[in-house]
Amino acid sequence: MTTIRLGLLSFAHHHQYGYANGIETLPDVEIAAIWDDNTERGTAAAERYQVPFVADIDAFLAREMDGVIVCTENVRHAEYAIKAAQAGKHVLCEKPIATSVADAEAIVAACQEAGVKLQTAFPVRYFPSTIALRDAVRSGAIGNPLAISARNPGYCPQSWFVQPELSGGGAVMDHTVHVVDVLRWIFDAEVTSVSAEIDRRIYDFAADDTGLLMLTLSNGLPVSLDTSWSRPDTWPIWGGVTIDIIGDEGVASLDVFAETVNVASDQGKAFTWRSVNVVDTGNAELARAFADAIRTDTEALPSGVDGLRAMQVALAAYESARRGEPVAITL
Amino acid sequence: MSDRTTPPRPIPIAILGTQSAIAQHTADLVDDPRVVLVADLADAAAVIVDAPASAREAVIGSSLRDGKHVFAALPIATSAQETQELLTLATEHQRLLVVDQPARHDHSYDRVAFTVAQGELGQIATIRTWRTIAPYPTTDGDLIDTALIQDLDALIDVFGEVARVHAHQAVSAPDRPRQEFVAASLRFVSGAVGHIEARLSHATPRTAIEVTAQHGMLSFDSDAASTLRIERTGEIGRTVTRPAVRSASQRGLDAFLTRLVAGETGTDRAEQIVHTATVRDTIRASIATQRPIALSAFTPTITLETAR
Repeated sequence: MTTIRLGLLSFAHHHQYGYANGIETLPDVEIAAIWDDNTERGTAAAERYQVPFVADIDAFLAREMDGVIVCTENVRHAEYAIKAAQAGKHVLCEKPIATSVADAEAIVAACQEAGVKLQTAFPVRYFPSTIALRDAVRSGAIGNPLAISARNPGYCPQSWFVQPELSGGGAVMDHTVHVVDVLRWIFDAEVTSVSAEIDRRIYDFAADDTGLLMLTLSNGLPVSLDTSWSRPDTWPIWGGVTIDIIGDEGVASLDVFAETVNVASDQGKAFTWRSVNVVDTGNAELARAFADAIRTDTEALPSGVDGLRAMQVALAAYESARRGEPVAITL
Repeated sequence: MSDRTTPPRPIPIAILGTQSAIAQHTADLVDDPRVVLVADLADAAAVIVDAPASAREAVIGSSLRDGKHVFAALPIATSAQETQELLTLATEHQRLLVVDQPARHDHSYDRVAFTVAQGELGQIATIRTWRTIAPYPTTDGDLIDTALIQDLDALIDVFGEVARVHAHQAVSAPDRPRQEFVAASLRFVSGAVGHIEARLSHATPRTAIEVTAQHGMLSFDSDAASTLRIERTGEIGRTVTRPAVRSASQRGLDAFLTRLVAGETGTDRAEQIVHTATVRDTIRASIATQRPIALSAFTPTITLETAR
């Protein structure tokens, strides 16, 4: 099987470490090189993964590799994804795909024009439990779906994530898109209306940290989604994704990151939960899907348009919070 | 001359409601020396009203007009206006009207309220509650009046008045209409953001709450509290029960009897009960219009001008 070589374009978003860890578990995918505008961070990553660090972006993109994983600050996704596409590299772009519709559409167009694949990094789709949820709902295990109650709370990542000029928002921008993507995927439906309560209640920075979205899907299902950065720093795990789908014959409840080991110790914290590597599992499967799409010349999913649609929901949430009324999303 | 005091005569009390409600309250009261159960309403000085929510207002109104003291579960009427009228009626007739809300007598809510009141968590960010009824209720009334309003009142008790509401619901197929799920976003006057939901489909009658805040978070889930879990080989599903303890409902009834014996009249929490009913009515209106509805102003911490 052909080995797919991927370049890691920036570690500004810490998810890049997850993708790198995931790639290391795949026998037919390898990290070709690393670029980062933060030389110290880039060289440290290169040392950690034992691959070359290339300081010049053009030299990096000129290297022999099949694709890149873009993990810059959100507002820079468009600049670097387009640059990579124009260099003939397939693009796996961190979520949210961009911070504006114009930027997202520019990324999609650039990749189409260059004839390269564009995948949005929504690893939650690739967890076995999420796939099982989709199968269960689609096979009628809970009867007719009626409503959805979902949550994606987490730690506050701090750094540039809390600077809207770099992140495009706050908790709502960061945590809306994963669940929206999964719901679009399960139901083949779009979000048509968004109503949101957004505020900053926990931290003292410019970005929002508290978000509650009330959505309506095109199939009529109502959805509630908590996106808050509400897990304290001392919480034993980073946060989580839970989705309850209520049907007329039962409920399917997904807890993606619940696979933990309980540790009681007389050293340090009295009690901790430790993930059993489920995060890397999803990241590895996402990277595998990207590599397979390149290898077999098939569509890379979730696509750039999937990323655009999910991001539109986050943007609509901010608009709803500003106006105090629901915002319709027209496609 | 004896120094012994004559014990007070037991207060005659009647139970009005469904057969199951009468049986439950009879079991709770049969050994209580403070009261004597009577079958004839004419003999009763007080009544326990456990009728379906839609019938409660009429029963409570006629009981108060007949001079009875009343103990009734929330909601006492199907609108805020009728709720206010009943509370006024109790005051006018100098009767005791206690509107029970079991969560107020639930130890977990006590702890939540205490922790929040102490300021241990700092400014509250989000509040989330889940409530389920299992198995499916046989009484009438929708999920809002059967379940959601209990948590709503408890949250208002702890976190203050609600400024804005947006709600949605899910009903089952038209040939089997039933409110399966109700959820509402709540913006409190304090600025805190709440999510409240009630559903039918769950293995247990569950109460759960999570509060996140500036300095930490707290959570409680009755599914994980003092339960007996039985999983049977070869069967799908599970049964979770709680060992018999004095329930929040029993404690609420006990509080009513204490006030009754003390000769108290009137109502308490009247303002909050009306506000809870108003928010409940607003939830219904939001479901009907599919829009958020404001009850009063609130001050957000952030302007969102910086968000794209």
